[in-house]
Amino acid sequence: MRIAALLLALALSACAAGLDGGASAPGVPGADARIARPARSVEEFGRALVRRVAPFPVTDPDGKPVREPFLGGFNVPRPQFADIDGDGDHDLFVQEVAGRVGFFERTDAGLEFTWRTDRFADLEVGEWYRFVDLDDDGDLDLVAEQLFSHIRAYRNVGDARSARFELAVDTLRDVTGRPIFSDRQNIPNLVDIDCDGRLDLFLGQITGTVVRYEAAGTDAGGIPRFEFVTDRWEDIEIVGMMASRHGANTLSFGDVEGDGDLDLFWGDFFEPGVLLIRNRGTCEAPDFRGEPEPFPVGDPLLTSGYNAPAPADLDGDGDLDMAVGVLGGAFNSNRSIVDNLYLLRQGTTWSVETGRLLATIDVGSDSVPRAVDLDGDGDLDLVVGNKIDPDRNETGSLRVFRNVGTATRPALVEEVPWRPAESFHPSPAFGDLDADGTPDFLLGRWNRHTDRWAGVEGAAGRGVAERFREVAAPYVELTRGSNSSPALADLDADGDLDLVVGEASGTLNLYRNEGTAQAPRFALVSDEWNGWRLGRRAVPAFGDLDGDGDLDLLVGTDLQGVLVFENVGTAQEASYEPRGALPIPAPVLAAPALGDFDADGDLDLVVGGMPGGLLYFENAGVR
Amino acid sequence: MDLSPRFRLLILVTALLPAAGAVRAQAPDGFSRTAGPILAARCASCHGAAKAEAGLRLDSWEGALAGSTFGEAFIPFDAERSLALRLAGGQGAFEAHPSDAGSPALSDEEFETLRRWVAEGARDDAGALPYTGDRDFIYVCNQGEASVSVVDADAGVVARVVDFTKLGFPVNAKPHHIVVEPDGSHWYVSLIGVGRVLKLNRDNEIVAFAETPFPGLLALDPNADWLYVGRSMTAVSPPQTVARIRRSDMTVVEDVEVFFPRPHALTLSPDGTTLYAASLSENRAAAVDLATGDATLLSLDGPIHTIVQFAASPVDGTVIGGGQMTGTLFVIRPPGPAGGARVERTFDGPGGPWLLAYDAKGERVFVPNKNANRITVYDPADWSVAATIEGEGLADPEGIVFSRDGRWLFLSNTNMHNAYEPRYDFGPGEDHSGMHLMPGMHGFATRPGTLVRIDAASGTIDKVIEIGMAPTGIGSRGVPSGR
Repeated sequence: MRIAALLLALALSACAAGLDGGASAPGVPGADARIARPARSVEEFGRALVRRVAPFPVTDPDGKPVREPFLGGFNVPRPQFADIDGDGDHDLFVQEVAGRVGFFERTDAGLEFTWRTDRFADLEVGEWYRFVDLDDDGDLDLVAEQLFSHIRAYRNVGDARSARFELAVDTLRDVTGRPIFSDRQNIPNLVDIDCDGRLDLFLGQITGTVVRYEAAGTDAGGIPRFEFVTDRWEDIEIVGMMASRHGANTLSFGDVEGDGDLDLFWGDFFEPGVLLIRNRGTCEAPDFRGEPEPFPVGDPLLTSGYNAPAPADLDGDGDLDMAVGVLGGAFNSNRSIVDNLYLLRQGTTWSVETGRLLATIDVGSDSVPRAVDLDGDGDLDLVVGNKIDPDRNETGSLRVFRNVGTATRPALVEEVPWRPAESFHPSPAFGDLDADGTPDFLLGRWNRHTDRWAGVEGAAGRGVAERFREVAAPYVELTRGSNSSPALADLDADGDLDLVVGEASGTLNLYRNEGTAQAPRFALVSDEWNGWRLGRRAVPAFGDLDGDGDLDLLVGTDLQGVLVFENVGTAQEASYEPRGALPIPAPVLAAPALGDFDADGDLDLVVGGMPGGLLYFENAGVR
Repeated sequence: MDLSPRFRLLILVTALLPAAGAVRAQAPDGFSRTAGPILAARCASCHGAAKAEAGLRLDSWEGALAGSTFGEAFIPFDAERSLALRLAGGQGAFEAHPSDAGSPALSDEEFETLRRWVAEGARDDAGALPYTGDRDFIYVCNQGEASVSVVDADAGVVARVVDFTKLGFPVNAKPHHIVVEPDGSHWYVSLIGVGRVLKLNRDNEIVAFAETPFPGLLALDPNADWLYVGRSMTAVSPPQTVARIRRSDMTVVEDVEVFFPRPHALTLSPDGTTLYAASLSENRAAAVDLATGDATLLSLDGPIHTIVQFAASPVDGTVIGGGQMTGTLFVIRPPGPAGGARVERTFDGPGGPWLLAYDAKGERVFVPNKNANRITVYDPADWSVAATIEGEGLADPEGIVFSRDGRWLFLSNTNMHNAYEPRYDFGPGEDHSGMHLMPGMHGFATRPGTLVRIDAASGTIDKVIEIGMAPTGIGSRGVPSGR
């Protein structure tokens, strides 16, 4: 069997790079003439993982293809359009987490953006970024947050077609030498508002006012020096008496009226839509003293607030279109954990084209995936728990992605949400707990409880909700803690499944099955297994990573990525040694799942996380 | 906890700074050999026994340090912020005092002597420092200028200013909230801008710190070694947790899950067993059993409320919090034999309820109304309005605490909308320290905020003390804000 798996792996790995046209993770080599072999150590397992954003077809519940299903999801996307490669179209940049910017290249005449990297040019950007030609040399430079609440500037030392950035100024200062302060939750912007050839810097304030600086000369490297102009630009005051220290905002500019001057778009923590303040003057003499209008006027976009508008003429028809990232303000941010990257197009009127400009798997937030053959058809399906259902504020749900392809060529179809229990953070662990040949599962909840569900025999062809019945709730209860995340594995090779439950504190709870394969009885061995404290939100997953016949352990964590624990004992007596984190770009609240999705004899890896999507890493073997 | 080399150095340097409370072995010259003769000769004619303008007497050390009707004249160790020196130096648009009153201005030598006496601690003839030891201090965050005003509750003057910029922190460190040990031995301040909670001793020396992202409001368990830290707004996506810190060594022991984004409002039950938090982004609050980690989620029905802060009754643990957006006040019944925590009732409390406080007997709840520049006092027996407090100095009220003996109520005011006209407007562009104001750091405010001392029994405003820019959170040994 090992030889067969090896041969299959060899055959598939030779064309791995061509399977989906997907890109490799930074630093991971692409196709290699040398023949791959399976990983023989947990370190090699880490090196064998290659990120794929579209490894196989996925369709949504409406039957629409999900073009790049494994982008990882979005909760707080901060978009901006910029032609970074000088090919005459708008590329898309999206910041989901602090510190880095994702890059999606415009790849067709329509509105198709293709993922290139989650960390564009390795730029450190703090909480926000803006591309702008600072030194007037015809290519785009970058300004971003300098921790904390200051501004840094990168100079593009490449050219308009091939950007290459160098840090130009780590703390932007005004002409008097004082650092310019920009509260980090308020995303500023730079434009030449009065057509005088000098950039203006606009900083939105938590009070709803706007500070304006204007370029007054440059430093030796051509980076503008900004001179303070006013802290009440055009007397704009968005929130007025509601002003507090709990606000946040974003601002951007675009010529929405096509009259040759720039208008202002404002997104605010206390505003469910985007506000438009029209420029009633001219480019040379702007006038923004009119009333803010909810945008689009007459049929405004309404979200959970704190919207980040990104205007651009995306379809080349000469008028403005807009993407809007929803960061989640005061209006129930749970509403916007899936539909949060809007595309608004302007024709005769403005219309909302989609709330998911980048189609990808996104179940909300805190996704926890599990691979299991739910329907007994010999291939792996995918079940993903979330924190809270975007459509039902009072419970989480499971999303089932049924494999309608084959074991070697999977094709996933997302089914309608399944809510087996009224609970947040449902976190399943599948296994045959009664030796009847059908999968059962334990369901961790957001609290200390884990429930038991049993598969219904002979129900394989039915809907997922009919395939399982609740057996006990709660079935297992942690001694203390929350966010129960169970994993089932036979840790002593006695033919029944033992149980490990991760929890919010980062500890693992070990329960030995003192019953039988037909009638499990989980007895607590330790509520701080091995004395490990693994950061926060431990999510375990077992698998033989190094091919030595015993079960190794992965543990997802909040900030430390996916930790590897090698089983240095035996199949009969597991003993684990920490081996650091997998060398993958893991999200916050990483939740791993192992499965041989392409039936090539080795374990691939799916990782969920806080943004609510999934990352897929193909085990391509090592060379 | 492990300290980075930079902060080990910082703490060492802090410890070696001119002691803010200690008496040094070789103290500088005392009052009678330095400031005393100058003040007697140049000031006492107007500020002396026969005539004490503004209630200020400068004919004795005690008088000079007691300050005026309006607050302190000198702040030990802080010549830059001492009003008497700012006036004597002709800061801003003012003609130097007393020349503005027709008397000759102080000579440079006289001014320097006064300045040095203040900078070295404004000691008495025996070399003793004013306002030291086991006194009742009120600590006020000046969020806009990275400082904390330490106010002597009984004297009603600023006794010290802890300027974090002089301790190596940036001007946007943003001190946000403070809690104080019941015995006054230490106090804790959250610095939003640098992601740290500092522990300082009674002498205002930093003795330890903890790192936790975007720290906001604090809650101290007086019965145990725990300090809880909520999250501020200063991030696009702050953690959905409350940090639990062991105060004795400032170790972050765990992050308590509260489930929802932007946990801001924060308080503890009087016995320290239940943590209450609420979201700025959702109509949700949580009551977390700290022994088991079990959380009860509470839906705060209705339109978007945006709860700013909670306060817990010291008597029966009832919790109250107010919605910034709606003015709705929520009364939460604590968990008991009959079940978990639950929202018992709601009622209208318009005006923008902010950081609020029970009195020590649990007989009244004081709710600052940020948008109305007043305090509304409720009777928790039936939640009727017992009184309202309005008057000078109430200008975007923010934080509220009691003095240790319960006699005084202290209210910080950001003066965000410049509702309070300072006695001396030194003009925009400069704050108390003479530091250039960064646009946007203070909201609309171009003027300093206030600390208002109120007679808790009568509700009468006793004193308006001008302090730093954008005063926000406030802490004391009495009933602290949020408990």
